[in-house]
Amino acid sequence: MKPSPDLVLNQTFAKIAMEMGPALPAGYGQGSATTTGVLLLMVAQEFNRAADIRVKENAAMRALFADAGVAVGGELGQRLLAAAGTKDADVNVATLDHANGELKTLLIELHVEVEETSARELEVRIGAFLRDAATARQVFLPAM
Amino acid sequence: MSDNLEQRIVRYLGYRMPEAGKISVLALSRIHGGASRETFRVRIAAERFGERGLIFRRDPVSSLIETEREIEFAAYRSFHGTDVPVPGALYLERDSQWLERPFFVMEEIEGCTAGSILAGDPYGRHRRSIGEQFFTILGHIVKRDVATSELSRVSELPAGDAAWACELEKWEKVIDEDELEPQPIARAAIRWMKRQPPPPAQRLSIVHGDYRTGNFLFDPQGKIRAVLDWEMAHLGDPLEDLAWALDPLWSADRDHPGGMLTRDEAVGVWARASGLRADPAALAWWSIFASLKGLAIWISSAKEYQAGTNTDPVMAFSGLYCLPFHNKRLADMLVECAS
Repeated sequence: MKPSPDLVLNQTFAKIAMEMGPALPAGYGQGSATTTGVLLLMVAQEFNRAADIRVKENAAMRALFADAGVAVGGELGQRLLAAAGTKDADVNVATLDHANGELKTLLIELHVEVEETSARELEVRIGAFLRDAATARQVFLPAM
Repeated sequence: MSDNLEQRIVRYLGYRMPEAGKISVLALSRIHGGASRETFRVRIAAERFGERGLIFRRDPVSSLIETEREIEFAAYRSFHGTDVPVPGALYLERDSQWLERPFFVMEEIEGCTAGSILAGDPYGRHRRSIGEQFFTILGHIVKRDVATSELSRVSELPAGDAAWACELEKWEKVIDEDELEPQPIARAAIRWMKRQPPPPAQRLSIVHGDYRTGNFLFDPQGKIRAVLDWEMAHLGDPLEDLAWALDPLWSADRDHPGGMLTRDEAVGVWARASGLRADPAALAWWSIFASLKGLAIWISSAKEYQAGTNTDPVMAFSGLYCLPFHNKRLADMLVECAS
């Protein structure tokens, strides 16, 4: 798809934030135009990476659940192992988000369990996953 | 809509200021950025008083933070005429007949600007001076006697050892009600904060609730002329405001919170002005809280935008930029706490 969507969004950001916005009278309209341009810049960053981030997060949580399911055992362990065996139906972002939400709900439950049982190794691993996932999802903006 | 609003404002001011004689609106414009209230700058000419600038803060249909206008109005009144600069709060109007929704009216502080959180250097050559004023004023807020303040009439005073729990409960509830996706980092932070509570507040004070770059006005000479946006004001632990002001989200320059002083310098200025000590462990707890509170606000704004109840681009910005920012900061701090 050419021009590529992220390029279009970036160029439109520049048009709105650098040309159209400043041409408006100072105030709400100008501020909203600039913010709207910045939104496009952020969506441009997300466009290319959105599916990749979610596929990797989902895979990392399933891998975590495969190990944790054995360690935790019981009914929660069974559900963790079942979740570990699931697959993303496709790589549409909406599909991946749905699976991501289900996996994160289970991750919260697991996190509570390992905190209560002082399962230190798993706790560290969950913390590292959360930090890495949050790092990957950051959005960067130029100073304006 | 603007003409209609103009006529409505003239009618209202005629009702409120009958002694002013005939009133006309010379200019009316909406101010960008007030996602929690619709803010209008109104220039009026009154037959007997001459020209005057007013600010109208109207309740939104939906907002970033569901707050009581009474609290914000009382906060302004609590500091007017003190060494915490605020605009005069003139009228609080609960009756929706005038402008469709409740609102209040303040004096306009003219000839000033606010810093932007996206600016690399929002204060230029005035950076140090503004930083010293900013954290000194925050110290003065701490010193305001709570019992004689108007805010104490509309805000509950928590016990010194319960201030943290009240605030944490409030923002956890916001996340419970507004999250559109599971929030494992926020949940982990909440559990950690409950397990490791901070020491009791050294004193209970008025807490601004959103004390940061963007929420004060300074003049071309670099003098801070007004602290604004008191809609989240409450009574509590003053370290809450200090930690919020130091949060790295408020400046593109991460080494200078709010684009002003270094963190250590800022804490030193605040300590001298407030007469309190910023206990490192307590400040660390409130720093985690600041990021969690931010997260709760961004989660709420994302929900409003997604639902179409408030499509101001600021709401989308909060969800797309601020939410991942505070998720990352919280995750980093939690890993650090665990190691």
